[in-house]
Order: sequence, then structure tokens, then C-alpha cells
Amino acid sequence: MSNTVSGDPLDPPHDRKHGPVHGPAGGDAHAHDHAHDHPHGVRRWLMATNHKDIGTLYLWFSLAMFMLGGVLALLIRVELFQPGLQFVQPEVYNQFVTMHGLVMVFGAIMPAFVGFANWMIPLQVGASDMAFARMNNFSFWLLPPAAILLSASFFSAGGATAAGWTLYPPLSTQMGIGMDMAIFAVHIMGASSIMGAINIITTILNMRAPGMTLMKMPMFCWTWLITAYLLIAVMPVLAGAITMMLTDRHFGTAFFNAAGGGDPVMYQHIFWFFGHPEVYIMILPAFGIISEIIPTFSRKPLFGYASMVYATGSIAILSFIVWAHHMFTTGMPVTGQLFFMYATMLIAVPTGVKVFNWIATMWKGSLSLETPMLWAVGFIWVFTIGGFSGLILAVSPIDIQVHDTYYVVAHFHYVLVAGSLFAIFAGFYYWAPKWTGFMYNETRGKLHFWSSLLWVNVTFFPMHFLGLAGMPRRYADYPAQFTDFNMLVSVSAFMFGLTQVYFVLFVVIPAIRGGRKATAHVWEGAQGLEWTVPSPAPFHTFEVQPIVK
Amino acid sequence: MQQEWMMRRNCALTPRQFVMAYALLCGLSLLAALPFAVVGGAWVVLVYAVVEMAVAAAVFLHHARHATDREHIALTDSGLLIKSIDGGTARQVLLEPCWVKVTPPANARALVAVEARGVKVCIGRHVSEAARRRVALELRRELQGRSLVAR
Repeated sequence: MSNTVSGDPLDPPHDRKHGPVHGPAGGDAHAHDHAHDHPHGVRRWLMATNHKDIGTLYLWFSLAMFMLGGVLALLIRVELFQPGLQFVQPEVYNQFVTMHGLVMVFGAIMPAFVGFANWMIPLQVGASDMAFARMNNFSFWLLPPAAILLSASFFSAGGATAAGWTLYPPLSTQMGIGMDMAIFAVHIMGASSIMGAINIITTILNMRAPGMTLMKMPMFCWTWLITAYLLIAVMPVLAGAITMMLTDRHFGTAFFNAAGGGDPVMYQHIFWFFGHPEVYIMILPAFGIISEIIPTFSRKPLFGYASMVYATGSIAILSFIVWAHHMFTTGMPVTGQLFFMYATMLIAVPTGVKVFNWIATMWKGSLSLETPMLWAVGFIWVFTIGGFSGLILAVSPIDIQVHDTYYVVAHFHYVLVAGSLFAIFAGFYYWAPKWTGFMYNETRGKLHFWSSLLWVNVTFFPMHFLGLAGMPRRYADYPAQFTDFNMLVSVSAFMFGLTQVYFVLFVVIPAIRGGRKATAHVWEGAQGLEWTVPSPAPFHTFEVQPIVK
Repeated sequence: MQQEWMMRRNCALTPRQFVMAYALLCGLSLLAALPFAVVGGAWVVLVYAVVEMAVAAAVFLHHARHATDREHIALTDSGLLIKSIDGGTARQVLLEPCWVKVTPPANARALVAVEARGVKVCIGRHVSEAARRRVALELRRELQGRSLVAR
């Protein structure tokens, strides 16, 4: 007779689409929560090594950054409410635009998904924690100093960087110390992302419960695994670009200085080689969240699981060969334009596979429209609008016409706000009962959804028209002909912002403080190991290794 | 009759697969960085890629070194044999069952203490507290059963 005891914990009945699991009933196995075993107070958070605590820290940090980025967005909209300069000078306006982009990309969206990864990946693969718990702590605690550096740059001589989030030279080589602060902040956030990616890869690949083969993994884990590989591949590219910029600024090099024999367009190539995969870094985990929610509320397995995995991989691979579609106006041979145009269009194929698979999953399912499902369905609709406008922008002659206009602003906000942010909200409503142990208020959740859906469309859809009519981005002023749409957009942006304040005050905080108790298996149609542990998930989970059959 | 316990980390990948995962990581990163260095003169990108891969290698090595760590306990007619593999170092102790005292972990971080005639071995570092307690209880029960049979 022999017994085998594996180090990564333990638990119960699961049946994720391809693979049931067996084990003791979830709730009982975790009756002993070890609540007394871990540090309390400030030390709990400062020295946190538990994946749930670190996930929570990431999510709070992200929320704070969303608030900061949101305030900057509203300052932009205040100035654009009317033509002429009302509140700020153009150089300050450009600081708002730049910092809004940097804060939202590096401070809000990316950390939000890392927060989801920290919370959910160990729970979904049946691991007790992330592979490198201390490095996980370090990854998180690098972020607040970076955020402080970024925010404090507003108060430096010359103010914050105003070169746009892409930090193009020669603008970026001429800025004040705020630019250096931004460079250091991005470096720090990049280092944090790399460590996070290494942790996620190791956890997913090596700490899966016995029996959970790669093709039995939840889609959220798959999308994060691929995202982590993308991060590892492109973060050195960004680091290289901004380091060269730093040396151009202070150490006499001329990488991007035409007068010294350098090439500013080279920066754009390097930046967008990072920047385009970065777009997928911000959307692939969103695809993963949506792929978890749609089957749950359709009460059907995900349609075409394998094709979803391959589509995710294809999108990631294609993301490396399309970067120059951001640079059609810099001048490139027709052959180059055609290559990048068709390569970009090709991305519509795997993306279409995903959208059709989600729809096919819902087809003839027993649908119910609880708040997470509303967000997921809303995501499919609005993200598809963003995807289609991306396809239009891929067409080189069109792109050359609307380059740097509000059409582009409309496109990427449909992808990042209506796409990534909607998926983040969907994920919050879906998994928050597992995090807090309490059900959120369904009526308030739905109100949050419908209000956000309305205002996100009223805010960003008219920007297509503004762009097509020729309104350029990154200007504090505009001709009077654009006034009506800009007024509408500004009012709507404020309504969208107020809706998110409502979300924090009337959904998030009450859901943390109390409410109806959540069961272990929160959603009737949910499948997966995370639903086998009690709600809230105990500090230590899977103390008995689950086995996936 | 032989009773055995194996306590080990859960590793979903074989060392070979783990090396392949790392190689893929290196391949991707270098594939991205090399053209910039060779064609574009942006050698700084390559420097960062190499540094990143070195960090990843160090972290993975640290992980892989202990990936196969395990403790094997066998209660046989000749005694209680405890084998432990820790970062490639193997240790083995043979105890006489009739003298063995098993102390379950006193708290979440404590290990199971197995001692006999002045020799003490702490086991269970690769598994959770619950698993350690379970092994301690099973080991105790088996040892008691054997001593009763012996009497």
C-alpha cells in the first residue's frame, strides 16, 4: 500500500468542460481557514505572499489608477467642451492627454488583469499559490513607486511629459525632467510586468493539478499564458526604446536624433513593435474572462474550445507582424503598406473565430442575464464595433486619411474601454462573490451596466464622425464646426465617469461590507475548480490536491 | 507488509518540458530583439532581452532545482526508512519502529518530527499543513499497529 501526497493543496468535485475532477466536497475541506496563521494589519499587505492578498492589492491599485486616469480624461473633456482655450494652456492639455494614456495603460488596465490573474489562476489550476510568492510581492510593490513617479512629474519643472503615451522623439527628447520621471516609471512598471509574467508562466505550466492537461485548462489561464509570453517578448523592446531615448536626452547619443545621424522613425518602429502586442496584452485576458462567463450563463460548454486556444495563439503571433500599420503616414514602400495592411486584416480571422464561438456558445443555451452576462454580451457588441473600426483603419489609404484624427481615438477607446474595461467589470461581477463571500446587489449591477453601455457609446461613437470630418487628436482647440459633437461627448464622458463613481460607492463597497452570503458554487452553470472552494475563498486553498479527470 | 508515503511538490511538467518552455521564451524574446540589434542598430533592446532571459533562467533554475524534491517514508519489516531529496542532495535515515515517536506539527509552519533514540528527522516541508497532519496521524497509527502485533 502506498500514499502519495502532493505539495499543492487539495480539493473537490469539478467538471470543467473537458474534465471532471474528484475529491472531497469543497466547503468541508476548507472549514478550517487558518485565519490565525497569517499576519494581520499593515504587515499582511506589505509582506503579502498570498496570491489572494496580492491579487486584491493589484485590483485596488488599478482602481486608484482608473480614478486618476479618469479625472485626467474629464479634464481633457472639460477643455474640449467648447472651442477655444477655456481652462488650460495647450502644453498642460498635452500633459493631461499623455498622462491619461500612460496611467490607463500601465497603471490601470494591465495591473487590473494581473490582479485577476493573481486571484484566479491558482484557484483555476488547483495550486495553493503562485510559483514565486515573494517575487509576486515584489512585482506588486514596484508599482506604487512607479505611480508616484508618474503622478509627481506634474509638479516637476516643466510639468509632466507631454509627448503622447507613445513618447515619440523629437518631442520626447526636448521635454523637461517630467519625461525622465516617466521613463523611470515605465521601466519600473515593465520590470514588474516581466516578473509577473514569469510567475504566471511557471504557475500555469508547472503547478496545474494532476490530470489538468493544457487542453483542459480554463480559457482564462490559456489567454493569460499566451499574454505572459507576449509580455516577456516585448517588454525588453520597450525598455530598449526608452533607454535609448534617455541616453539621447542626457548622454550624447543620437539613436533618434536625425542631426546626429540617428532616425526618429526608428523609434516608432521599435515602439510599435512593443505597442501592438501591448494592445493584445490588454485584450487577451479580457477574451479569457468573457470565455469563462458566456458558457456559465448559457449553461453550455464553450463552443470550439480548441479553436479558441488556437485563435488566441494566432492573434498573439500575428501581433508581431503588424506594427507598422500605426505608421502608414511616415512613408513606406507600397509593398510594405500592402504587407502590413493584409497582415492586419488577417487578425480579423482568429478574432472572428472567437466572436462566432461566443455566439455559438449562447445559441440554444439556457441563457440568463445576470450582471456578469450582461457585461459579457455588451462586451461582444461594443468590442466588435472597435474591432471593425480597426479593420477599416488597417486599410492603408483610409488610414492615411484619418491618421491622428478622432476616428483613431474612437477606435482604440472602443477596444480598451468598451473592450478591456467591460471585461474587467464582467470579471468583477462574476468572481467578486468568490472574493468577498457576499453577493453584490443585482439591481445596482444592472443599473451600472446599462448606464455604462449608454454613456460609453454616446461618448465614443460620435468621435468616429469627428474624426471622419477631420478633427485631429492631441489638440486643445478645434474649429467651431465640431462644437456640437464635442459638447455631447463631454457631457456623456462625465455621465460615464459618474456611473463609475456609483459603481465604487454603491456596488463595490457594499459588496465588500456585507450582503447576501454567497455559496461556494455561486453560479448554477459555472464549471471549474474555483467554484469548489467556499466563498469567500479561504486564505489557504487546495490543501488537498484536486485531481482532474 | 510495506507501508509507504511519498510527499512531493506537484509538478505538471517534466524537466525536459520545462526546458522547452524556457527555450520558447528565449526564442521569442531573441527573435524580437535580434533584428533590432542587427538591422536597426538598436543593440540596447538585445541587452535588455539578454538580461531578461538571464533573470528568467535564474528564477527557473531556482524553481527547477527543487522541483523534484521529495520525501519518501517506508515502513518495512526492517525499519522505518526516511529518504529525502532536497535540491539534488539525497539523505536517508533508518529508524527502529519500536522506538519511533511521531510529533504532529504544532502550528501551520511546523514540520512533522520523527525521532528515535536521539535521531530526529523533520518531514513534510513540501506539503501543506493538512497533508502533514494526515501523514503524521497515519504514520502513528501504523507504528502503533505494528507494535501491538509485535507484542
